[in-house]
Amino acid sequence: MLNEPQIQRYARQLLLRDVGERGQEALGAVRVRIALGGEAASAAAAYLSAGGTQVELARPSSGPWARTPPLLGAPPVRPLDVVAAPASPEGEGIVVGSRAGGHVLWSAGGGGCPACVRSAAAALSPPGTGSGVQVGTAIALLAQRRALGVAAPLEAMEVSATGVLSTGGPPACGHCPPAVPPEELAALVRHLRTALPDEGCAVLLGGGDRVRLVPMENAQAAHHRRDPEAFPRTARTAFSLDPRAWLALLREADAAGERPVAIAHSHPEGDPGFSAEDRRWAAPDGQPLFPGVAHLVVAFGQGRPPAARWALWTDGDFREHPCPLPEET
Amino acid sequence: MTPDARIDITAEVCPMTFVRTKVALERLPVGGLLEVRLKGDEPVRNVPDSARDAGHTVLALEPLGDGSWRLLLRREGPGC
Repeated sequence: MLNEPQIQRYARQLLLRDVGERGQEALGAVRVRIALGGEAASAAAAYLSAGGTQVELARPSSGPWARTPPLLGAPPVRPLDVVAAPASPEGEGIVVGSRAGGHVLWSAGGGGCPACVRSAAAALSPPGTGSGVQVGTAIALLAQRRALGVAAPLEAMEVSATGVLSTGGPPACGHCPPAVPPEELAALVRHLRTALPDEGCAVLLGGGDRVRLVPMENAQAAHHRRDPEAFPRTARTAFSLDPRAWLALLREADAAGERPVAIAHSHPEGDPGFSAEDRRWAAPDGQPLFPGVAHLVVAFGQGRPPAARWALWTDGDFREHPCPLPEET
Repeated sequence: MTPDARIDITAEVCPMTFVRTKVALERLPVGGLLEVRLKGDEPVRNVPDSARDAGHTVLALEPLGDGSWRLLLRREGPGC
């Protein structure tokens, strides 16, 4: 519970819907360790400190925040690291790097994928000295969102070369199931149902924070008809994408700023597990055929509602994750 | 209806009027009742509106005869 001086100090913040008393306590329960220097670190420290969060600067700095330490009494329990690319935070934290003359900030934690942040951050250049105040503002905002528990597992901000601040796209994550809107999942189930009793397939394209369904045709029937020796299985027990359709889809996605985030197919009978056959198809030589693309299997068991599971290439193998489906109407 | 908590904000000015009200409401369990004594045109107009905007329910607002008002609020939630 906040005491009287704390209520007075943080009055305006307490008014915010996402903050309130509990949020203010959450802001005070985080200690942000900033391993950067310069204006960005000073600006971030000023905002965070004024907001009631303790800040630890790698390089000592003087400034108004040094004279007005946070009023919250409880010792902070959650460390949050802000580091410069190509390094990346060990646990919950933010990485700041530069790209194309501007800055990129990625914030990860609570279910975010450290492995993806690590590999993406390694490809960034260290932050430059320009737009320091804007970069610091973005650091403070991302850190406060994490402290308040309103941040997505992985989120991003960008500061353009001219200092314009915007929300950005987080790095593509092949380890975490993509967020697919329920209406797209429902459309996927409807599309796969039309292929029954054959296996059906589809691709999910993502661009920005949107994911949309592209129904595909199962080319296995045609393959089997043309060359039953090379393709002994029929569309009942196998699926394949038509190479030309796949190429056209990639071109279309590229032009629209999208990329395939998942390939979905159905198991007309049985369970949604990623079968040995699925694994062979998706990683023929022990290497994923589509790096960074998730696989989604939807199973139609007799007399049961459809069920789905993700399969994501993680540390050398496919790992399965649950995929709750919306109820069919 | 007996309130679960009472606050008097007749000596406060904006924004502390609603800060006091919001903090007191959020300390109650969902469904809890808060009685607020308040005074002056601005708080009488704005505190009930702000409570409604934050998702809570205004159950009563009545003059007490001495220039102050009694506002009865129900805490809604979660997340308010």
